[in-house]
Amino acid sequence: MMEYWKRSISELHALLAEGTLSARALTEYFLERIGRLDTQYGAYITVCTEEALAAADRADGMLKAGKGTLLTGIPLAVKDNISTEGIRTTCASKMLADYVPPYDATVIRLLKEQGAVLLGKTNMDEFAMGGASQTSYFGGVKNPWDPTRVPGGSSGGSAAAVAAGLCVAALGSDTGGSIRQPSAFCGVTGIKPTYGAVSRYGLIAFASSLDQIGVLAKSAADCETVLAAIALPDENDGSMLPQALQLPGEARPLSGMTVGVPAEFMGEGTAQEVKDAVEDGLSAFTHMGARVKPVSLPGLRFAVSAYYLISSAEASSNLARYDGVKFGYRSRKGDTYDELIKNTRSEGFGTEVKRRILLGNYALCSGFYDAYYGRASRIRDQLKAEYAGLFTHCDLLITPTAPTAAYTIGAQEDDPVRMYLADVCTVTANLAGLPALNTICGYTAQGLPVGMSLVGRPGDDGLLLNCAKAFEAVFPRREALA
Amino acid sequence: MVSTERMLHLADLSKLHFNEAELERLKKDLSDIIELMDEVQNFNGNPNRNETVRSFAQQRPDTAGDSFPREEILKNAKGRTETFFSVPKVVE
Amino acid sequence: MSYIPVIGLEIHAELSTHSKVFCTCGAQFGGQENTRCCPRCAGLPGTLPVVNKGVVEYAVRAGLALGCRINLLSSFDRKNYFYPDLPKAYQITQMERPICTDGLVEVEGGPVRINRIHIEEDAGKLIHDDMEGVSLADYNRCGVPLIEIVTEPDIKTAEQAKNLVEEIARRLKYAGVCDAKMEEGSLRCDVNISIMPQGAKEYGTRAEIKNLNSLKSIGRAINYEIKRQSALLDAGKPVIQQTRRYNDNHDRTTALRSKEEAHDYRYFPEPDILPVQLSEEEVRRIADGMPEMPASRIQRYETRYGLSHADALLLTSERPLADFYEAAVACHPNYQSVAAFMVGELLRRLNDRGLAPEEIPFTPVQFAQLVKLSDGGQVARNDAKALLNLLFDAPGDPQELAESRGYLINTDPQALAAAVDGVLKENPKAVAEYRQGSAKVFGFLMGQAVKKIGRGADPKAVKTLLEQKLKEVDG
Repeated sequence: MMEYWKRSISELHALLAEGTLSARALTEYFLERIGRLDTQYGAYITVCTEEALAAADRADGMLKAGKGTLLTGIPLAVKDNISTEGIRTTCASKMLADYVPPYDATVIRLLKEQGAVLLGKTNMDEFAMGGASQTSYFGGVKNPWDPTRVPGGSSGGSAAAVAAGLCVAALGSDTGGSIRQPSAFCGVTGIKPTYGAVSRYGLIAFASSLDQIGVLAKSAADCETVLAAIALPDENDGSMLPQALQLPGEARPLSGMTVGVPAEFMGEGTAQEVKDAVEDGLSAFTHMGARVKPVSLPGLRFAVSAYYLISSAEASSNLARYDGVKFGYRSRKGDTYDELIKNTRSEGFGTEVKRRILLGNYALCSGFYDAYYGRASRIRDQLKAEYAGLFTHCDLLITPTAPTAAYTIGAQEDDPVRMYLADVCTVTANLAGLPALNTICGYTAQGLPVGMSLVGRPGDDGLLLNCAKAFEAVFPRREALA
Repeated sequence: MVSTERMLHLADLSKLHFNEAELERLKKDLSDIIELMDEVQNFNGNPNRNETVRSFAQQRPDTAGDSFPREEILKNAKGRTETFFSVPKVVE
Repeated sequence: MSYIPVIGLEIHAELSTHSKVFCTCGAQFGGQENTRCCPRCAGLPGTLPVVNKGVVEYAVRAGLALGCRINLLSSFDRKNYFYPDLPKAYQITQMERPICTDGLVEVEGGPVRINRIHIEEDAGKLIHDDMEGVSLADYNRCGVPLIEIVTEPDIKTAEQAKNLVEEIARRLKYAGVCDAKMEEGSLRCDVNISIMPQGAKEYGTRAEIKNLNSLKSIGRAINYEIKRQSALLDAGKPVIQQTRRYNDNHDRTTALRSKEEAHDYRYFPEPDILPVQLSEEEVRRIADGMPEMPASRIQRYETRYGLSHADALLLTSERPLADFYEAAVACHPNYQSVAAFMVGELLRRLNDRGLAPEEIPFTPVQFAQLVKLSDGGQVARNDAKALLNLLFDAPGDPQELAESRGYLINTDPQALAAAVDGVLKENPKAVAEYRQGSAKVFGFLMGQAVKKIGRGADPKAVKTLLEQKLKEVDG
């Protein structure tokens, strides 16, 4: 029996192209797995059985006509904050539990043009705010490596789906680490592209200047295949880079590259087993001929605070449109407009979302703007300058992806500050708009995956993917499920 | 510590309301969070403003396209007439 | 006590681009409710604004028309507040770096400085249904491009305020960026007004007046406010900073339940839109591509066409009129004659008929041809006026029209001579009486000659020839 869920995109493509396997059969295979296994993990909010089979049939048509591409007939999962026309898009919130977008996000349109198959919408932290995927209105997600543990967040559903073989690859979104950290916790590869490389049109906004759609898959090679299909210029998004990414990136041997390791990420806040695994990963780079050296990013000290101030401020504005008037949940109570919207929002949003909205308004409100949002913006400019400085003598940087491996569900729930601090390894890449990729560099004593992040200059997504591919070729990766 | 007055003001700006227990809880949460946020007060740098700009020439040309059918725009609204969005009266 | 009024205006003008400012929906006025919307302007989740190049260009034109400095780098900000006509619960505007600053408009009453012009999006419309206790929202107008023109508080009187609004409206129409119709809402005006005692160093507390739908309302509201605030200060009471609404029917302003303190707009830079960078070259190109402004046209009419200042002012009072004049003289370059006929005859008829210049039913070429006929003596002046009336009802070729009505003066000398000769022959008795010194009989002979020629007789020519021929017979 072919274990298709373990196969790479190119392997599956070969089977589909030669006719050994039909797209329909492959989609049915994954739908069966989802039906059988997902009750254990809660990776999916919506499974689109009918639409997926219809897309698979169309894909078979494309393949027969010789018009298939690498992604034709490949079953993918999409995080439920990415708009899909005619298919509910909930952001894991009561507020949008029955919202059906009348349009497709650009990335969805691009994947459909390739003939990819959309299996369903994955679970996440509500409105992408969180690092554990436990704040979902539809129930939390469990880590396939150990269902008593969190899969990370906010793209925990996508990460779990890839890890448990419930899709070939998945789209996620990353605002402060929401692709990379769950990729690390779930033992898969995940990439947050350069800011502006992938259209955000259709991504339900959390923090506009930080959000990016990215990819989670079993390997860097698979990530690259999907990324190449979606990282295209789009007139619907005015914040995009003027030119498309060059994918694959220019082929450069690792020998001759300089890898910087900012010391601030490897300090006390990071668990020893994480540091050990990252050191192993760095050794592999050294073995392959790269020059690894310590560097410094002093601005890291302010990064988490600046990130939360900026992201919450933007979120408080982006989420103001949820008032029950145009779409989504509407409270039954409210005799005046003011009462209606207050009731709707109070009933429709979860606690973490409310906390962020309050924090955001705090940072922006009259008398506080300069001290908080204004300062945070300058910190951001400082970090960009510090990174630019590092990249004058480093080709890429490597850091741990998270301070720990996956922790037990419920361990950090009541402590927002502790949760926020855990983002220290990932937020700077969002603040500076840099591409960042998580790959697995080791396993803890308990067998949990540990991730390391490769961070590059804006536009160097191809370089990171090439380095990751080279690394993954020599690093034996384990599966979550036997 | 964030004051109750400020909490109520923020709640109004956010169009959220809380019962007493929630308010106390959130006051504590927000105070803890602000304490972390206050780290930024120690930043004294004066970096150059780093922003990407877009030229006039690259902006979208002024061509009108089709609008969406009205029903598509209204269909997700819970309060509506055949053709309007409907809300309870606004008190001026 | 007499006080000095200190008045500033905030004018919103709808730009007449094809599409809205941040999406490709059509930007025209009207339409069935909620039929001119898309996910972007309806504020659906996941949508993003994309700047309309035409809006930036029109805003630059407006800035140039009002003597402003064009800021080559401008950016957008979010103004956050909740209201049912604002789907995103924020308005995209320009706070920190507007497209234009530091302008100046000279009007009667004194020059008024322009503080800024910035681009922003319009909100939708609300209909209040008091019976049902609901408000109904129509988002067609969401995203229609606006410029907000903010003046310095340089205005001192209601008259000056009206003059300024009129002049700004005129220039915006000339620049081709806005049709500036207050009654349709494409031009809206809010007034900020305070008063201060003579010799005072500080401004008084100001009130903001909204809901002014016409020039007249602006004038009356200002005068009411001056009286109201003066009375307060005279009585030793303070003027409260508040928003007030002007009531047309009762000619007074009333305070809106003041929610000013509740409106903390929490402006921050719009993260979805990159700042817009113009080059000097691009601004120059926009300036060159602009329709000619009134001041320049007035100068040209006076110096090159020899028109009086008064006539030049009248002809440029509205752009369609100036355009009409220029098209007419392009066809018949008798600048002064065309101007005179327009000023003397056309304008009055427009007034009588309640027509705007853009509603003139005949073409400038047709008008020019009419003037040409009159100038060339082919139509008598009075007949030309009659023809003009006819053109209003049945626009067409003036020559044909004149012919059909018999207005064409028969300038054929042979026909004229034949007629006169004929008359002299047929009326020997009258001729004899004339020779005997009866001047009266000349009139009779004139009448006969004119009758013989029929319509198209030029009385002057007839008189000259008759006199001449009578002398000849004599001699």
